[in-house]
Amino acid sequence: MDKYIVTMLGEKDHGKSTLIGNLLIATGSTTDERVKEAKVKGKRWEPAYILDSFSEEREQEMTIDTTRAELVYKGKMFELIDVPGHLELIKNMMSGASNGDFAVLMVSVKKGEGFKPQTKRHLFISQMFGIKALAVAINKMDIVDYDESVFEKTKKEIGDYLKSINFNKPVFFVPVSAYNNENLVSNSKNMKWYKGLPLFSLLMDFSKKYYRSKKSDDGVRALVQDVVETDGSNAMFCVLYNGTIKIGDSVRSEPDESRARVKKLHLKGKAVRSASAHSNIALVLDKELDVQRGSLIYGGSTRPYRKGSFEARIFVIKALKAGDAKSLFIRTNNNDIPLKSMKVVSTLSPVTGRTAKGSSIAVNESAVASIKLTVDYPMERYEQHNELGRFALYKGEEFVGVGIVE
Amino acid sequence: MMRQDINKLEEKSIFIIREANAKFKNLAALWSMGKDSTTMLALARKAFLGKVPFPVIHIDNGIDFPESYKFRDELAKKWNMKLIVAHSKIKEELSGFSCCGANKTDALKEVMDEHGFDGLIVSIRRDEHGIRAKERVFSPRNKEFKWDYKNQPAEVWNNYTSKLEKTDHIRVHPLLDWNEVDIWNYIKKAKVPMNPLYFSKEGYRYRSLGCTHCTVPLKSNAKNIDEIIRELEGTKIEERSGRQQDKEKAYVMEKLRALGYM
Repeated sequence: MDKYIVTMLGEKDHGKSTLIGNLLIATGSTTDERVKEAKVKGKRWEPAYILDSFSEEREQEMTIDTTRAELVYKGKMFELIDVPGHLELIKNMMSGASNGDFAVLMVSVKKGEGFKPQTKRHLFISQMFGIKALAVAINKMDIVDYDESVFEKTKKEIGDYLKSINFNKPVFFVPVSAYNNENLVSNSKNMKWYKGLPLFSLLMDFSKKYYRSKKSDDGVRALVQDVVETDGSNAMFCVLYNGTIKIGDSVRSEPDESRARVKKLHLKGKAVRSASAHSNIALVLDKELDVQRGSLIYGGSTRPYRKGSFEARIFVIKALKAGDAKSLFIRTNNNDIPLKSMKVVSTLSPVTGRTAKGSSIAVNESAVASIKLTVDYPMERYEQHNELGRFALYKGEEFVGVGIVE
Repeated sequence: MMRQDINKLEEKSIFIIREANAKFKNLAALWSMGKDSTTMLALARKAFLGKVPFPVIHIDNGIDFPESYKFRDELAKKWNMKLIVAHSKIKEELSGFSCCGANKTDALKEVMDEHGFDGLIVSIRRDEHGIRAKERVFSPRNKEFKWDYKNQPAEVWNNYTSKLEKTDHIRVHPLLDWNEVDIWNYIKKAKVPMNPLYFSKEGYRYRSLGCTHCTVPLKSNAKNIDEIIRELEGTKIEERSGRQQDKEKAYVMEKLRALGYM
């Protein structure tokens, strides 16, 4: 059965872990033993402890690293990804958020909390990562006496921001009290003015309306993971990201563009006549090509979009100057490729929504950059072939950001 | 417990195992003869055209079940695997924290050192324990085998960390996404040979296998895979409830993992 991945976004202390904890309990998705284990002596019961299982997390009442919890209800399966809200933990947030289908954004209306810069960064990143729909949970409504005008005011503020960053996914707003379990799985008596669905029903709805696996087209794209000699010929272990590949097909390889035919094909240890997208295959061709890990085998009517240079939308968690390019590399499908150069076309602040010209990128800012690699590594547009058009950015051992090919 | 799409899980695990084999110079896998690590070996055979290309390590403290030793020797032969048995030194207190901690971890350190392994496949799953839900697919360990869980490397999409300056080796976790019921579903589908201790005998079976000193069987009449799957789909009891180490103290699992335990 399909499992829908939902990322929880939002600033620290706005109630992400509490919300997940209570959703798990309300839908019967956790065990009594885990709930019992999560109780901390001498402290007020906090559903967040089910998720925050590091001792430091419970003691400091904060999420340090991303965690996942499975929720099964009414015949559907969701994986809720809890991510840390703290600014300095944004790399952990990205690790958790990179595979999400949908997102829930938590914004607390408690005085002093509200719609914060970190929340805006989370939204911006999740849009880059390609979530399909967003539910905004306006939390801690109990503290403001379930006042509809507070909900409406926050909703407008967030809505205006989403417009400013051209957020183009379906968005729904729901007032909740995560701690008191209100509007999570059933409508709250204290907020009769809210006529929409409770949060969990929204997610059920998302899974029906907005979840579609992308259809693969006829362009074969198989990325070589390893080349291994077996029975006297070279077998290429590849991930087939797109298309269908068959015995006898004519394929080419990037970067050297030579051509050969498929002679043998293996799928899960068995010889097969054809294999379709999103499978791990072993491939033997009728002649040896100059192929190694990171080479792209392609066929069909389309050619790879770019090799060695491309324009990308990036988001960085460290400030970068033009001169940094030489110490940077991209990591894509776990292959590290050093940069030759990087030219910043324009920068965009996810907090203010303002774009600017410039040659450097500030910390926690986004930019469009023109990137040249030291080798002719093939890249696709992210929109078209997700897996072949995205990368993490590193400086030495340090993770500094993410990017998608535009 | 609900079943996930077994094909998707299988593809992802094959990808991770192939990735590990391509990235590390000297890869090995831990094998406890339990259902998870045996399933992982079955997946490795699918990934590498019928062969397990890396050595498998059994950390043996001499008190595993006789059925497990027999199962180990038979399957290692049948699948033509390179088996390394690392004997742990028995220390005074043979249960729970000190046993799994010092005994098994020291033996693992020795064998890793001796062979110079830089990658180690460990078949843990997220649904086993709250702490395991926080693991990365590729997870670095330092010289003391410590897991620096407060500062894990970024793991965006499938971009794993396979080398850091201060790491001794990387733990690779190809089964993180699987649930207990998925494992059984796969054992059935792929006809994975299984340790007989999992099947009910005289009203009891083992649901999770450690060694004889800290594993207790549970009441169950599930005599075959279908009956186990049915039992799991209706249960609300934690899988590792028969394992002592998890219960002794709060956070003991975290301590064990920080100390290098699997």
